[in-house]
Amino acid sequence: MRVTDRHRYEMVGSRVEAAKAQNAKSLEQLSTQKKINRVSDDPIGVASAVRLKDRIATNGQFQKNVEFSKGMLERSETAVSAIQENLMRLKELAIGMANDTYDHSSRLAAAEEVREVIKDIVQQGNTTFNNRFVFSGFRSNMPTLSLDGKYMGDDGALMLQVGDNQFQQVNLQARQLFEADQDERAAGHTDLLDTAENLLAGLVSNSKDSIRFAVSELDFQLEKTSAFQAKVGSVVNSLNAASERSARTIELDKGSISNVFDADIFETSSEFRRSEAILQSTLLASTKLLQPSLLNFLQ
Amino acid sequence: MSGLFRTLNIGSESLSVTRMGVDTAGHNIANAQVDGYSRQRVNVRARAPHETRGVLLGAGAYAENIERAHDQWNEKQLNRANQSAGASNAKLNALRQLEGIFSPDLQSGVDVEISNFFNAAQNLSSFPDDVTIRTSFKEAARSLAQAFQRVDSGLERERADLNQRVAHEVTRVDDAMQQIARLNGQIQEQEVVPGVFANDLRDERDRILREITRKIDISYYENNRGMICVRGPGDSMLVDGVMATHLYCEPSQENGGLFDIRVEGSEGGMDFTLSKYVGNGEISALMEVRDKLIPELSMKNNQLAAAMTESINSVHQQGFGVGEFQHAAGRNLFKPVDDIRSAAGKMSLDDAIEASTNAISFASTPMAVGDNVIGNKLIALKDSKILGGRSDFQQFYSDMIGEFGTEVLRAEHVNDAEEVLVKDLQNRREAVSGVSLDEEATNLMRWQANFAASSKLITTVDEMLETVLSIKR
Repeated sequence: MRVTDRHRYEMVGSRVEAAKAQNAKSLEQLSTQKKINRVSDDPIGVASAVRLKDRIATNGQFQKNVEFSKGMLERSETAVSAIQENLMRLKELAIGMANDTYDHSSRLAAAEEVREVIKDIVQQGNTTFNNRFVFSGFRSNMPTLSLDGKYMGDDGALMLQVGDNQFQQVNLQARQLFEADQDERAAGHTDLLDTAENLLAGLVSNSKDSIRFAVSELDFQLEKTSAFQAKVGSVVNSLNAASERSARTIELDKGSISNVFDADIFETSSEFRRSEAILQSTLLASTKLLQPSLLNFLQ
Repeated sequence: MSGLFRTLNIGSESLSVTRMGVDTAGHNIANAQVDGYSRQRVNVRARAPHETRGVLLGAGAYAENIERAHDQWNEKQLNRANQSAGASNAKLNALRQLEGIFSPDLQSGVDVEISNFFNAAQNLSSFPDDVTIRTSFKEAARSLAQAFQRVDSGLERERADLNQRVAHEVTRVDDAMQQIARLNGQIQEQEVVPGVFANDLRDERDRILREITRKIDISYYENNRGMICVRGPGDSMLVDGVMATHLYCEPSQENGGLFDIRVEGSEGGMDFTLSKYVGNGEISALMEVRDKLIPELSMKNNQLAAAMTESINSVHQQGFGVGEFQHAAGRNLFKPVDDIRSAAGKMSLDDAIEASTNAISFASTPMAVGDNVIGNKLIALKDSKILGGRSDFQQFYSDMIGEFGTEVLRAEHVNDAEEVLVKDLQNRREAVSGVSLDEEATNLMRWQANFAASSKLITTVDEMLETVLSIKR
């Protein structure tokens, strides 16, 4: 083959260019620390990274949802425990006052304490979290209990997403705690605060029978409260499990994204060294190649 | 009868041939780096011998013509390869421009904004009555709409750019056609004498052809008068001898004012549109990206925007807001889509939402600020296979950019292959036609030696003449 001068220059040109392109590519990877800098670098990788990134953001959000829910549930739990303690105090009082040893005046004194306890139960029922009444269902801007102890909320179930396609109810419908349902009414039971009011009425009217009846009724309310509290506990547990799942998903997905996107620092830097060496030797060879010509030897 | 003067003549002709050789070597050296130049050679022939006293006596040499080293077959191959390479190269560059719109580095791409929107919805679902969170949800919805708009306008801008480039390239092709016709005339003039080659003009014409074959699909042949006739796509006659028609661009009515390529009809014939016939070369690739790939991408972007707008609206309409909006449902979140072709470009917040965040409707019942049932339905849309019953929003988007990236990658590979082929053919052309300085240096030495010898012949004859003249004395 005839090798012409233009050919030689062009060959040198294109080889240096190729070496430089390779060098520039590894420099880009080295300085951005990324294997992928545009879609065409790895179309499938970029497409899957879109999904992974979205999943990470979504799971992060799930965790936030769980944190919020847990805050609200903890507040609910505290309130329910307080109500339980109040009920126990009422029961104590009721059992004591049902004795024949107490007279009307000491029962009136106990009635004073019962009034305070009722006030506290109403206050606990109207517990708020972030300015929302936690037991009011969807009517979260309205107090749960009226001053005379009527339940004012609705049966709204506050659902939050805590996992893929997994919505978890994070409030508890408090109507069942504060109100007696139809079956319970048929069995002669009353609303939670009515029970306390009945006790109060019994104390004020000095009726031992009413007070004794209130004791058994308080037992029933205590049972309901414990069941309610157990439910709160189970919701918190499942929220914790969901949160852990999200955390694990995030960890795995971050690993996958890093596999797709991040350049292996050792590989990249050795690749950069290599391409640099190629570039330099190409340049060196080129100067050697281009210089000699017959014309140099003609005098 | 041949005398000494005849011998003297042989010497002087030899000198002139030698000088022609040196000139040609000089011309070659001077043009060694000129693009498209073919090295030239002096064809030296021996003169027909004379019969003198029964002996055939040689009559020296003469220069028949100067010819260029040229391989027509290789040239045709190169031009054909040029057309595919031009197309693949133009396509790759056009696609590279688009890549920026879908870059994985973007912090506000459609994918990111979709995530942000649904996460904002999650937040609002946790705190449906919080004014700050309502506002941030509204802003996330606005950013989502803007992300769609950005993709849409980015694609439109690239489309307009490509359109300008088509116009620019068409002008260059038109110029080149006029040049070829002019060169045809000049070559014919110079080659009137048989056996004479207009080497440098032919080189120039070949160079222009090589440039043009990158841009547009043409075929050409040389007629018996040494003129090149160029046929364009769809059998249009672009150059016939010294006549060239004009190519020009005209905004097309059907194609939203983008350019069609038109050819001036010959001799009073009607002008006609070429676009449909452009098969290969840069211009066709630019038009393919302009009229097919970009519209496909914007259609997908529109589809996604329309699907999101419609599904989100249909859920949002079921909801009740807060404040002054707590009694009534039926509001949209985004302005409804009236034409899918502008779904992304015109995506924006509904006026009521724009005016007040209270209009955001997450409640399933009136007057319940803590109600997030509709909000949760909205969140559930994220994982619904809404597009074609097959993909959710993120999947659709990632499929779209995955497909696009593959297209770019494919264009890159095709282009690499085509360029290798062109490079190879160019090397072969160089091997045949290129100037080697070493070779020219050798030629110079050769002609120099020849010059010295020819001069010696003349001085010898001179001395002989002197001897002859001295006989008389």
